[in-house]
Amino acid sequence: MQFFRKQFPVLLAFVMGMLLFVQYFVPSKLSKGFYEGFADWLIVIAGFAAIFAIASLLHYHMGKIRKRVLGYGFSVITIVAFIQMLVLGFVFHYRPGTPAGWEYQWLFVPMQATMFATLAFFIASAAFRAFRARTWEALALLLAGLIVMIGRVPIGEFISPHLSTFSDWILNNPNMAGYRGILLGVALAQIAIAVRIIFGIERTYMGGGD
Amino acid sequence: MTHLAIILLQNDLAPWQEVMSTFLTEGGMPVLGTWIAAGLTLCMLSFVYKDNPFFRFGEHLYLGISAAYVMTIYWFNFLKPKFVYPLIPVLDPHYGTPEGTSLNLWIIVPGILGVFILMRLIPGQGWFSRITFAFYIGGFTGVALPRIFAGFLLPQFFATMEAIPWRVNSIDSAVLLLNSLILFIGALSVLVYFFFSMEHRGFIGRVSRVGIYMLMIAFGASFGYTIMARVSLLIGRMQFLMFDWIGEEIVARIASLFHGG
Amino acid sequence: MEKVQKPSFIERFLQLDRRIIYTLVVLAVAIPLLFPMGLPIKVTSEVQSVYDTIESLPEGSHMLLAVDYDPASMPELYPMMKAVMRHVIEKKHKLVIPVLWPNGPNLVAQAIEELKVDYPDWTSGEDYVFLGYQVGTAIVIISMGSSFSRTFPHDFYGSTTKTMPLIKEYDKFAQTDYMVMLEAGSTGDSWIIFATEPYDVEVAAGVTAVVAPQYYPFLQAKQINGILGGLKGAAEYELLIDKPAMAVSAMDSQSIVHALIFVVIIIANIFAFVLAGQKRRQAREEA
Repeated sequence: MQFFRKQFPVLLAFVMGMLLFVQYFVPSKLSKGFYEGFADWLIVIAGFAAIFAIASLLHYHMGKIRKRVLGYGFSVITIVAFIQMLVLGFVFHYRPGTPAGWEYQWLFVPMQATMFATLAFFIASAAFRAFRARTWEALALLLAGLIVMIGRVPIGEFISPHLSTFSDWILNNPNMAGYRGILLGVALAQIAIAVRIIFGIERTYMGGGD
Repeated sequence: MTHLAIILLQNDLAPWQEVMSTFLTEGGMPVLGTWIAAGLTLCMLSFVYKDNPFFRFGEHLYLGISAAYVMTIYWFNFLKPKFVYPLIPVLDPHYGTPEGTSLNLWIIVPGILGVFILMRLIPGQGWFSRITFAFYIGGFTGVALPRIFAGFLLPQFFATMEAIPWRVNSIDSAVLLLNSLILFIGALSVLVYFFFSMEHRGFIGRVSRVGIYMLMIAFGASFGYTIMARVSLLIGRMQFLMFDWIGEEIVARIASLFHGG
Repeated sequence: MEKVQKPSFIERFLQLDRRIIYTLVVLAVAIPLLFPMGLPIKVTSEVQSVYDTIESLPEGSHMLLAVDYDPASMPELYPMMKAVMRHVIEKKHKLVIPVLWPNGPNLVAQAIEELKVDYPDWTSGEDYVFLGYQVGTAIVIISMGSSFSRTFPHDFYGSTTKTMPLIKEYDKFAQTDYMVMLEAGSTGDSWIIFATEPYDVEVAAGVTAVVAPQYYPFLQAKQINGILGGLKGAAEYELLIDKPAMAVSAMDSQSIVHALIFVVIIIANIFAFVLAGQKRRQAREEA
């Protein structure tokens, strides 16, 4: 049993990783079939993982209700909302013109959109309070931010066409160079992590689970 | 009971569908919907003032509805067509026609691996999920490794090098050279900045400082664009409140009061 | 006893109540919606090249529209999606639409319904296939390389995909002539790594403003051929197809709020600079 808990997962990750790595370099029908079949299987596993995420959310709120944690009434709202939407969705589908589609349009959309819209207020307030050129680096950030912010909307073009030309230049050159550096860094890091995973050095993704 | 199960699996509600759709999309229901949406928009907006029960109500309602919507989608798009039908093709409403799903018992294997993930919810049995994660992450890593190299790292790397025009014979090509040097030196210095294995002193220190400036300009551009994004979302909600809820006519009338007319 | 100094105007300004800023933001959004100014909108080259590509494709070309966003970015990407779809319909291209974000599919369905009012002959299964959502993100992209109908056995409306006329002629990612991906996060990276690069398909990115700057390295490397960035990108596209709609009408408000934040940041910085100077002088005098 200990073998299945500890060594087997590491071995499995190595075998799967190597097989699919080698597959990339083998242009045969068998190898292609293996690759496609693997993708089919992973979709099924990903589906169960997604269901697990939802189950965990419900588990968390049910726990709050069971223990009568302060404010558990809100968890009741979550559970009731979940159950009614689930029943309506399973029975009538979720496309527009069904009860679940109606709830999506008139409850879900406004709530999610507004949640992110409130950030406009916070970012405006934060810009006023915290966006200061205290150092040369902060000055670079501030200037790039201001020019892109104003140069990318019609009023920038209206004030001076040079503003929009300059913001285009920032985006296409220094901004691009900065993100190019980040992208190259990310790609190198991903490759390093991939090698570590295949060789069993990196195991944190398996989670505790004991 | 069996009948109900078959209705659920086959979703054979076509005769009701049209009546229901008309009821929900015409007449009173959209009006009711608009008012509910406006109320919920205000609930969520109230968080700007401070955390309050209206916001928390909306937040928890949102969680429940969102989770159920996603679960419904998994049911119709994933569980039924990719798991239930391949195992029991008779349940597919198109069974026996060319549109029907064909039997595929192999799907039991990823199904079992999937159930292993769900076992994390049972105390003491969570370790089963390690096998699934090893299979999934290990395999996916093998798929991703050569493709990240060929489709991500190499094109980005070559684009950095190839941009430099080595012959300068006009103002345009001089500008091009300047821009490509910004790209080359900028990207390289950011990489040096990220490379923590070396001490950032002397020449390396100076290069990594250039990297910091490039990052600051990039983050500045992102900041400018982030403001655009957040403001766009607010405009979206304001358009809804002003034109869909209060109504275009009333808003136009209010506006005309200020037109000096 | 030490004399308590009254805060100066500058100090009081820098401590401005956040609710005043909030009110200014609301007014800066609402007033231009009430009184549109019609500020001219410049079309950028990043947007123009997307339009030009769709314009130049021969009738009946295979286009893929990847929808990877949800209502949180609807004000930005929904107008963009509708404008691109309208252009595709006008040019009589064939369209396949997969969704990789679970909260997104109904937004596409809504757009299709709205467009059907103008184009009642636009037929599901023949002119377009709305595949709906499938779970797995990068895995779905990989799987679409071998077969759309295997990855999405049913479309959004529950019809079997493998027997649809459009899917019979266009069932593999490699058969794509041009792709537009609407991205609110990093799913675009996966499309590039696992689909457009291996199958050498040209692609444009329609993205939220938050992620737009991150797509410029892909543009320079010619891994994408255009960027529609945020609501401004959507407005530009609406102008290009000569159908100004939601995005164009929002541009005045967008401009005024940006101008407001611009001015506020500059004033706050000047005041903070002056205040720091005063404090330094005071400290020197006391010493």
